[in-house]
Amino acid sequence: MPDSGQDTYKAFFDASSEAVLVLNSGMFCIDLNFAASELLGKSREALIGSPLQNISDFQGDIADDGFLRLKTGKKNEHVLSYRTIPVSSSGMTMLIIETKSDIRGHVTVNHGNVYRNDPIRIVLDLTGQLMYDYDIKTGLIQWTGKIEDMTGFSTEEFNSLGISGWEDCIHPDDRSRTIAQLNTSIEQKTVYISQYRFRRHDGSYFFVDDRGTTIYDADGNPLRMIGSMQDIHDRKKAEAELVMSEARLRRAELIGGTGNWEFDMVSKKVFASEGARRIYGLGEKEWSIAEVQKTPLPEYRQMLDEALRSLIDESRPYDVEFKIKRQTDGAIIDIHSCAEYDPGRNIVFGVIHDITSSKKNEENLKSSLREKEILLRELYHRTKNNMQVIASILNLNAILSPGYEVSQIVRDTVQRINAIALVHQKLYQSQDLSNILLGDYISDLVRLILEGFNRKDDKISLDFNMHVFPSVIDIAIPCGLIINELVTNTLKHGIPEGKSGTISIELSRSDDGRIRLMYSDDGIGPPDGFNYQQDGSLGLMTIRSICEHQLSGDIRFCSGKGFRVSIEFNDNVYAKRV
Amino acid sequence: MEKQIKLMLVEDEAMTALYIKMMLEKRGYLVSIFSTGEKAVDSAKAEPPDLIIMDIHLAGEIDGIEAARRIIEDAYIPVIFATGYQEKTYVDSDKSIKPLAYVTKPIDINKIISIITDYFKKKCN
Repeated sequence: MPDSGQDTYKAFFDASSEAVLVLNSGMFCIDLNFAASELLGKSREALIGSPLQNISDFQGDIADDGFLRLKTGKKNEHVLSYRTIPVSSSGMTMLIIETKSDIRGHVTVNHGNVYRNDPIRIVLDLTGQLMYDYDIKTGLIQWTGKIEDMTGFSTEEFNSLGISGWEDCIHPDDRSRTIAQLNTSIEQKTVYISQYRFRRHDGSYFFVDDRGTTIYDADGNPLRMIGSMQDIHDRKKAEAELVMSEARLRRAELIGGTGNWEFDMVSKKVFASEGARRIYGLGEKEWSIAEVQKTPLPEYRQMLDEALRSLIDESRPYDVEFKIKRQTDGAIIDIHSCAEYDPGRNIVFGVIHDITSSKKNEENLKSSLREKEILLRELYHRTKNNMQVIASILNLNAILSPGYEVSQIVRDTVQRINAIALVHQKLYQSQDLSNILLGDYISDLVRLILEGFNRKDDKISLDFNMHVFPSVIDIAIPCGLIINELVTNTLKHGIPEGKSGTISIELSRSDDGRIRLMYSDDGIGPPDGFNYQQDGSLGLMTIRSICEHQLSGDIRFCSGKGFRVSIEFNDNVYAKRV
Repeated sequence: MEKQIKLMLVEDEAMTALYIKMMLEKRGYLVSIFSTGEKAVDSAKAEPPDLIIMDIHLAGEIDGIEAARRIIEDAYIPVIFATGYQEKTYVDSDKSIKPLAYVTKPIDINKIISIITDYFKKKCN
């Protein structure tokens, strides 16, 4: 060290945290201290003898103070302020670099207010950053920048916080993580980077991005950390809103079964949203158009190509429906797709909608409408037929019962009509409007007839043993008419008014669809020698005709006490109508 | 002895069939009843009737129109259809059948008798 010679001065020179270079009159470096060597990233020996131009962009005469750009390593540069002190009359100059910094936060600053009017200060203000110099040994932190604007603390308050005050201002949920990151970076000599919520003076929190570099002494002990803290609250908020917005879009696509896609006409790549990928069964975000075009069923290829061509060439709306075979599971999916062409970017943007369920609903609706039409037609047909049956009953009564009293004919006819009407009542109450439970119907019908004859008293016992099975209207009505004739016969002749007796009915259906109906009463029974086949009464003619003709069944009148008849027929005479 | 005219009545409603049969038999016609189209076709092929009264809705697999078509594919037999308005259109759509007449339900027996009588009168002349 020229002109010093004193060990004390030398020690102070070397220990100074300021970077000091001694330059000769030719602006060559003839000495430098440890801090300068560290800043410039080269050994003292390597730098001594170097012209100042080699280590900075300095040109011409050096001023009393100003800025210079220092090259540190191959890529790093620092814009720094300096001041100079002439050394006696030797022409040597002591260059004291008061500040060594760059905008990326690799900063070393002197204690004290060193940023007056320098570009770093401007950068700090413009970027909303605070710079700090954390003395690791004392725990003091010197802050610079628009402290009050960012934190609400005055400069004095903020600088008095120290490391513990800084830790207190970190959001409790972020605190331990952030302190751990800081300590780790110091221990491992890595750049410290952390994002956390920092408490303002008013208690509100804002997100900061905090980065720092630790400076170590020659023994590797940490001395200081120089860093910057940037307000990223708006960015974080925007990021959070973006994340939320994307989550909403994903949710909307999931709920609505929709997706969007973008086809780049130049690269022939298709970008598919999560919803679109889900619908198509695609794994990646980007697909070649050739891969995507494999998904629709082949019969739609020509239509889809034509729709795309007319969208691009003729600006015709792209609004198509087609089916795809999903790539993941092979499921057939109905798709509704709409798209627009953006000639500026030369892309086609579209949305797809999985309309499988609505298509199915549409089909169900059509099917339901068809079913209703059939039901309505069936209703008209049945009504017409029933009118015909009633007319036939009345006509037959007129032919076969000339001696009957009108009131009796009317009562018998009303009973037959009621037997038919009860089927319709049961049908109305049934689930599918097509079948009724035959045993249930017969049971109700018998009670209805007893009521009609005013015989619903204890003298007539009912003994039913009927299996539960459904039956179509075409079986139920003839069965009802047969039961009506049988019960009427019992009440008129077998167990006339004033007599007691039991009506027994057994009903069963075999697995092959053979229905067996056994009817009996324990009443007076037919007179000896009665010929069931030749009896010309309307009741027996009705039973025989319905059983043998309409139901294509077998009828057998049994002898013994009272009246007993067995009827068997197949239930497949009539197909299910609806 | 004058040959008795044979009528085939294809009707699956027993009471209606019974009534029509009784009324026609009173007029001297020989009436056989069938409740399904299949039975009617088999019988008509074996022993063709002189005239058929055919309901359209029948028990069994085939309806009255199909039964009539099968019966007359060998030899023409006049068919009176018991039908509604919509069914008339349905019958007319099959040009091969050429029905003798349509009657609607509830059936006016006198109208049927009149159609039958006129037909056989014309046939005799």
